[in-house]
Amino acid sequence: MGTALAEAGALIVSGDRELFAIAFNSVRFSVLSTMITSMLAIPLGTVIALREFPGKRMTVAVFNTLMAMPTVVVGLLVYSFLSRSGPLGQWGLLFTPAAIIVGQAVLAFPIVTSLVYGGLSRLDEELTETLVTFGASNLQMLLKILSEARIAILSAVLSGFGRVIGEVGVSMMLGGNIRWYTRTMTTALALETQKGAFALALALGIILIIIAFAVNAALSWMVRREYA
Amino acid sequence: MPEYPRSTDGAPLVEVEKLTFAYDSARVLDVDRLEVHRGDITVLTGHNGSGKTTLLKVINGLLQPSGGVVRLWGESIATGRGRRMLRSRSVLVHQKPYLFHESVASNIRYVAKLREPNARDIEARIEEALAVVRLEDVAHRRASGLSGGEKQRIAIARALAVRPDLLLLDEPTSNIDPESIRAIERALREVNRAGTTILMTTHNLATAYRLATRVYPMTAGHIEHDRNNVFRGHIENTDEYFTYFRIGGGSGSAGAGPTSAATAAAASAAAGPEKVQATGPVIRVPAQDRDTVAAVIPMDDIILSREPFESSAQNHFSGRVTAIEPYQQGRRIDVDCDGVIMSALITPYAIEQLGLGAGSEVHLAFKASAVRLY
Repeated sequence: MGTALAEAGALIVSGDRELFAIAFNSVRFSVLSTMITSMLAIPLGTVIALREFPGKRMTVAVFNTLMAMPTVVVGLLVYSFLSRSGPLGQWGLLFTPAAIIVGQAVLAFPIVTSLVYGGLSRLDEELTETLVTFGASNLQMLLKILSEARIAILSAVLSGFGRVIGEVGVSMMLGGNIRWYTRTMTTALALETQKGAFALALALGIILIIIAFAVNAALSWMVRREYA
Repeated sequence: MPEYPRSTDGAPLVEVEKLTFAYDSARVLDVDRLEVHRGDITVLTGHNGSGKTTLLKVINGLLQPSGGVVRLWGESIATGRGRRMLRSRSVLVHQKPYLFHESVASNIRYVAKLREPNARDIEARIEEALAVVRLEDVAHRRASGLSGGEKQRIAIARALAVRPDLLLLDEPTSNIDPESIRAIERALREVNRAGTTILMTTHNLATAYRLATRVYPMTAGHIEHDRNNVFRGHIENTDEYFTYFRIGGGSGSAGAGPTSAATAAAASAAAGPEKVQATGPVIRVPAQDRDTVAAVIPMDDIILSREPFESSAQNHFSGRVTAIEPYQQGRRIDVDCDGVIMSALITPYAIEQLGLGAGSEVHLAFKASAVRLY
C-alpha cells in the first residue's frame, strides 16, 4: 500500500495525462449537471418556500424523501428513457457525456430544491414585513429575499455538486465508463481497484477528496465572511 | 406632497375604529377606538400578549384585520389610495429588526431608494440618519456584527432615512443597553420635534414617562381609555416607580386639580365643573393645553422632611406615614395627605436619619416639572 501511495503521489505530481483527463471530465460533467439542475431547482424551491398552496407539506416531504434516492435507481429511471426502445431513444444519448449530465441533474434536483426551500423558509418573518413596510414591489421583494438567502442557496448548489461529483451509479449505468469519453473519477476508481491498479485508484481518490475539501472550505469561508 | 389630503388641524392622523383581529378563532384584538394626533408621541403600554404588536402591524397593513377600519389622514388603508399613503408616508420598526446582510450604509441606501428611486441626496440622508441615532462611525461596518442596541438604532436610522410622517415602533427600547436607550429616546424626541408623529409600544414605563404625550394601556387586546391607572397595573414590573393621581377625583380616588394660571385650561377641559371641587391636595403641574386625566410623578422625585420647609418646588404637602415597604434596595414610604396616598422612594439610611415610622408626621415636596400629564 505504501508503494501504491508513493506511485499515486508521483502520478499527481507528474501531471499524468489520463489521470487529469478523467478528473477534468468528472468536474465538467458535474459542473454542467449542477448548473442545469440549479436553473430549475432554485426557482422551484423558491416558489415552494414563498407560496402557499394546497399540498405544500406533501410536496416538501416528497422532495425530502427524493434527496436520499439511490443513484442506481436514478440511473435505471433515466436509462429507461434514453435506451434505444425508450421514449427518447432516437436521440442516441445513452453512453454519452450528455446521458451522465442528465442523470446527475436528475439526481441533484431534489437535493437543491429541498435545500433552497429550507434556506428560504428559515428566513425571519421580519424580512418580508420590513420589505413590505418600506413599500417594495413583489419583484423587488423577491430579489431581496434571494439576495438575503444567497449563502443558503449557494450551499444548496454546492451540496448538489458534492453529491454528483462523488456518485458512481449514474455515471456507470448511463455513461458506460468508456475510456477517454465517459470515464469519470468514480467509475475509473472502481475499475482500477478491481484491476488491482491501486496507484491510479488512490490518485483519483486523493483528487476527489481535495475537490470535496475545497468546496467545503470555500463554503465555510463565505459563511464566515457573511456572518462575522 | 400636495397630492395627499392634509387632515384639518386637530383631526387625527391615525384613526382606528372597531378594529378586531383573530388568529384562527382566537380574538386577540378588539379596539373600539384609537386616535393618534399629528405631532404626538402616542405610547401603547401593556404586558406581552396584550395585543400591542398585533395592533401596530394591523395599522401598518402587515396584518389584515378581521373587522373594522384603520384610517390614515382620513383615508381607509384598505383603499388603493390609503394603501399608497401608508407605504409612502409611514414605516414600522420591529422589536427585533431585520437588518439586511450588508453594510449599515447599504441597508439605509436600499430602503431610501425603494421609496424614492430618483432621490439625489441619499448619501447625505444616510449620514444624517446615522447622526440622529449617534452612530456616525458604523456606516461601513457589516450590520450583522453590531450589538443588539446598535442594531435597533440602525433600524431606526434606516426608518428615518425615508422621512416618514408617521413612525411606528414596536418596543424600541426593550432588552438593549442603557446607552442605546438614551440615544433612541433622544433621537425620537428630536424627530418628533421636527414633525414626525410617533406611535410606539413599550413595556418600559420609564421610556413611556420620558417620551409620551399620550399613553394608552392595553390589556387582552383592548385599549383602556380610562387612563387613571395607566401606571398602576405595571408598577410591580418596572425598575422605576411612579406615584400617580387622577385629576378630577371621584369616589375613593385622589383629587388633584391644577391651580396655576397656566394650567387652568387643562383643569376645565379635564375635570368639568363639579370635579374641580374634588377633595384632596392640589398639584401644580407644567402648563399643558390639552385635556388630561392623569398626573404621574416618579417616586424618586419626591423629597421628605420632618419639619415644614420652603423651597423652589411648587408642590408642598403634609401628611402621616401609613406604610414603609422594602422596594429593591430602598424603601417605599406611603404618606396619607388629606386622604390621598403619595408614595416616595428613599433609602433606609434616610428613614433612620429622619426617624420615620408608621404614623410619623412628614412634609413632602416635588417640582411641578416632575409631573407628567396624560
